[in-house]
Amino acid sequence: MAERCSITVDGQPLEAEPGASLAVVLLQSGRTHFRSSPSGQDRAPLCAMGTCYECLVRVDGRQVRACLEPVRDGMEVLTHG
Amino acid sequence: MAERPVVLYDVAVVGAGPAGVAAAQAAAAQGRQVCLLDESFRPGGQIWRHRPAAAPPEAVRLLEALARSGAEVRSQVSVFDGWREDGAWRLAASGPGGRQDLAARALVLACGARELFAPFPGWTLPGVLGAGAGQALLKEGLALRGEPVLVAGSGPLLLPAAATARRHGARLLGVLEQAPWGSLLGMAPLLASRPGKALQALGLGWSILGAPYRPGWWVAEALGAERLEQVRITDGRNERLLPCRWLFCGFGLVPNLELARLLGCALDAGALAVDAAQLSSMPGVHGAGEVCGVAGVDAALAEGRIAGLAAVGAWDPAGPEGRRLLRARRRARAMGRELERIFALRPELAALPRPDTLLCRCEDVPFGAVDPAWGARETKLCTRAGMGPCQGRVCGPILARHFGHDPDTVRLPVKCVPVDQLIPPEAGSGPSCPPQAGC
Repeated sequence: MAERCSITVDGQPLEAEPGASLAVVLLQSGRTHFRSSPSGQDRAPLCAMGTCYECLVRVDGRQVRACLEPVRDGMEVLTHG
Repeated sequence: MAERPVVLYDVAVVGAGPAGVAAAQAAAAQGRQVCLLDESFRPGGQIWRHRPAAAPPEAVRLLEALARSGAEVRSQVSVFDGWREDGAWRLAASGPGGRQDLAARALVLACGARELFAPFPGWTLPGVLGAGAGQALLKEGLALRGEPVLVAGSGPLLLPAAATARRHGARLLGVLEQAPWGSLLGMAPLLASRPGKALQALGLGWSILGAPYRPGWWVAEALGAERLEQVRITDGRNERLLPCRWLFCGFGLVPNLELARLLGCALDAGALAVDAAQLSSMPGVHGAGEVCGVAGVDAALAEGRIAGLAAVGAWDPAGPEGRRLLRARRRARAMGRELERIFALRPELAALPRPDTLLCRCEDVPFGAVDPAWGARETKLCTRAGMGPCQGRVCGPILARHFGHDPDTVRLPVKCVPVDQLIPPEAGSGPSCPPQAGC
């Protein structure tokens, strides 16, 4: 049984495996909307390797690429940054 | 914040894929001070993006050797500036803890490659992602149990992406390869002379058995309200509509040259130009792997080792290991060039975008906003294409393909970075104006 930790995503609690990719955890929870484009379109990971910035979210106040961010216990994630 | 002295390493390696890991391990095993910088939170790059328990033996062996070598690994840092100072190279990187500065006598650029995208209407919908992206997310644990996945585009990366999707429980709808059967026949002599690759290809073919592999077909449009729901596929004559939740599309790879260009390295045919010892046109700057042209993991491993040894003056091309590495590099590079020819993109793909199809995803710039008479700079100034956070990494190759634009100049910072980190530590209070400027 893998170790679990708790994070919040837009205020909602979510269980995840510590160290897992935040992009994977968000997609797995059914969220496909990470960033809003300048015209307000919802965007989700495109490259998953840190190049495209479509998975930009806010973690504990910092803007990060979700595909390059490991999950840590207590992390507060805001999408649509 | 307390100022830390800038550490001088013998070698700094940028990028921890197979090339970078091989370079760092080779240099550090010679007893030198080596720093390996990488954007991801785990070394291994894209091809070895597995969770540690699932990594292939080849990756585990090299990563273990890296750990034993004494090389310092800095993960989750993005190198955004580099320059020459006091006879050494300086790098500035951004990480979770802020700015990091370091100096090195030699550099190895192993920045890898990114996916090439060929836009079609709907390509910005959530659920449409790169073939390598889909594979990476699956390797990192994304489970798509029973969900319909279509793999489309071109090149040898489609099969492993499809195989990974199926292995992770997705319902694989098929693989659309835009290259026609006729071109794919060119693979036969290539594989015949490389039994290892042939076996690999057979194994991949076997693992997607039952799902159709369609050469000469491509995705014409992705459809959906909030996310991908359907794709329209075509072979140029027939069309079909497929319900689909995930589209993994890959059209090849593009070397990541931003840092090399910032340092002033010469390029050749869209890749970093290097000599037989992987040395670029700039003193002490080596390159290895996809940054020197897309040729896969075998080239990356050989070139990484050559570059790492050359960076510390330990490269012997005439010794038994040197001869073996040169042979491996030659074979892998020849294969890379051949694959590029076989999987050349068909002109029909360039006709897919409509005027309202987005060209630059960061800034929401549609194809119709670009005047074909404009050059790269005018397009950027008039539309903001390439001025978003990806800095033209996605739309640059698209503009090149559709409008013949050369890439615009690169400058500091070559990666997005919080503005306070742009200020070098020795500048104290930051850049100041000369007194006569009156500000």
